[in-house]
Amino acid sequence: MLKNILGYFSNDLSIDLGTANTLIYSRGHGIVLDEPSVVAIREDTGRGGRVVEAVGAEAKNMLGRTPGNITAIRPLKDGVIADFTVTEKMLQHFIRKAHGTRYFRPSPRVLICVPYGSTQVERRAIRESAEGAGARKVHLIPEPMAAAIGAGMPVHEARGSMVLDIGGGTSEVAVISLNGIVYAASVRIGGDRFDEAITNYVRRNYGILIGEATAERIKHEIGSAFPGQEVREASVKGRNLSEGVPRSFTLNSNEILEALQEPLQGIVGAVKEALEQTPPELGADVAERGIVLTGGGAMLRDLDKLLMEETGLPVVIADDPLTCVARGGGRVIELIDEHGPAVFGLE
Amino acid sequence: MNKWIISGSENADDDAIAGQRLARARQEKNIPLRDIAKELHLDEPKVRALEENRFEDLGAAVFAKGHLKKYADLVGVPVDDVMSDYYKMTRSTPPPPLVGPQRSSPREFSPGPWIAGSVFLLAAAAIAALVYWYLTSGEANRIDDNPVNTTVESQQPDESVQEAVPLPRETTQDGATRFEEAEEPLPAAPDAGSQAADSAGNSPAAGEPDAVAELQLSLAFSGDCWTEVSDANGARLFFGLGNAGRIVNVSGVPPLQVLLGDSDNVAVQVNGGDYQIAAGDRRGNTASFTLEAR
Repeated sequence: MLKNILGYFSNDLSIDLGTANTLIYSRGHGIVLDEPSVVAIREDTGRGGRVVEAVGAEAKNMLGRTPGNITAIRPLKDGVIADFTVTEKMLQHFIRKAHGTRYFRPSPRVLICVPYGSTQVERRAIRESAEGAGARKVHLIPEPMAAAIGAGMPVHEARGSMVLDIGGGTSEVAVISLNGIVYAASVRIGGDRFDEAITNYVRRNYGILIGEATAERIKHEIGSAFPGQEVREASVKGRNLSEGVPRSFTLNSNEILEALQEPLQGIVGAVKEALEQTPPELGADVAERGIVLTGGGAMLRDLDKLLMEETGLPVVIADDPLTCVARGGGRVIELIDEHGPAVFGLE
Repeated sequence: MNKWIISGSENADDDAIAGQRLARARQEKNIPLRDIAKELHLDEPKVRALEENRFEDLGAAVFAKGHLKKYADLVGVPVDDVMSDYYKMTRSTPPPPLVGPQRSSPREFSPGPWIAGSVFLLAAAAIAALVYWYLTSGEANRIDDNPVNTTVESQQPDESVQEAVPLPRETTQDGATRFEEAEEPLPAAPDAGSQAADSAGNSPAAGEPDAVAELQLSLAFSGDCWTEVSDANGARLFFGLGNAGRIVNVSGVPPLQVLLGDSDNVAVQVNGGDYQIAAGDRRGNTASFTLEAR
């Protein structure tokens, strides 16, 4: 009852609850929140429990730099919830921040994008987490569907549209026609695996240990998926494992390309598998129009070139690929109001 | 693969827009169309459609924009210029910039919280008004109940038991108003003279309205008649619709104000004696008169 009343003062939200970043699209306002999915927890011995110290960008700055009583954690792993309670607290914080209110607890209608490969248990955990965070109504939609809609693909047409959404924890590839998913697959490879591959490469070849944040910075600065004419370099600092002291060294883009080969081949394999499994008529449509890349991983330099060379199909990157899923979810909320939740077979 | 890339090319004709700008740049560099098609992994007709600004041939906007960006990159034309042309031609707009939390919050742009605050204040005021109304109406009921004894009798033999008529009243489904029945008949009003004598010596309330002799008013209804009877204190002794066959007995401190909606359907008795409604008190079927102390 109270949720219904508070619902009148809350905006409908579409939440891209990602492993790396959480984005919130507010109906009528656009993307109102883009924060890392990180929560800093402080062990409060006085009160005998855990207290949320910081959430989002503030907490991410603490990653790897926390004292003993503070732990900066990512409550989502591979696109699904790893820590239910912390996820609920994080969602509660983000929903309140998206509404910008301190006077009452918002109770919005929420649409959450979930990985296509998530299990029923994982979906239920996400739903209950959102309800615990104050949502009065929760819809779940597969991420590739939201990504395709957000990218502006003609998902309602009787023609095949292929989308590849590369997130922080998972990569989702799907072929969509007539508002439904014909084929989809989810591989647990994403931006986090890229960072991990860079960390492993540096440790293996330089004997130096670097943190998550440094690995991510290297990926953004000189990361590449396809050999280019230009070789870029970046200066990196890490701890030398044999000497035990911090050292500075230089990495170049070709080394990072080599480091990323394994996760990249996993994604390419998933796309090829999808093309093999797609019915021939829809496959012909995809070959004619191309594959659309969305998600933060699509911003890896020359990833589209790699996929074009590997598949022989045109590949384009959507406008503002990082926000496609959240924007698509927002459009789905509008379509739910117009046609009901059955239009996309939503849960 | 990027052998055609040049930096900062401004060779395109000013009149050329979007695809035409790309075609001109390609021709200036003597790049065959099929090479561009090969790089973009598109059919030659699709590339030609791009150059002739027939974007609908490429399907949805996301494909046309993606291929335009790649094509511009290949022939060294600034991507922003080509996309600007595209948005002008299609009368569309680029995706809105991210509204980051550090740049804005909905509260700064939306009047929602102010409206919410106002609605909460209004709701609180409405609740306060409701509580005030409830409390004041309760007091009115208590005032009605205390000094007045109202009884209703039926002329029918099997319903000859006297009925007390306390407020509040109930409304039946057919809209008529009736009164709750008391379990026991109330005792008759005490004798005014003895009450006055009793209270004269030891009570400071002597001389107050309670000590004045009450009037006994009996209303015998032969048909429907809306009736209101109030005493000297303004308290309602009876308020409702009298039905045929009912007798309502009320007693109260005079003067009693009586309003009868259809006076022809009512026989009035005061202190056991018949009372004739004066012609001056009648106005059509209704009658309004005052019963003074006797």
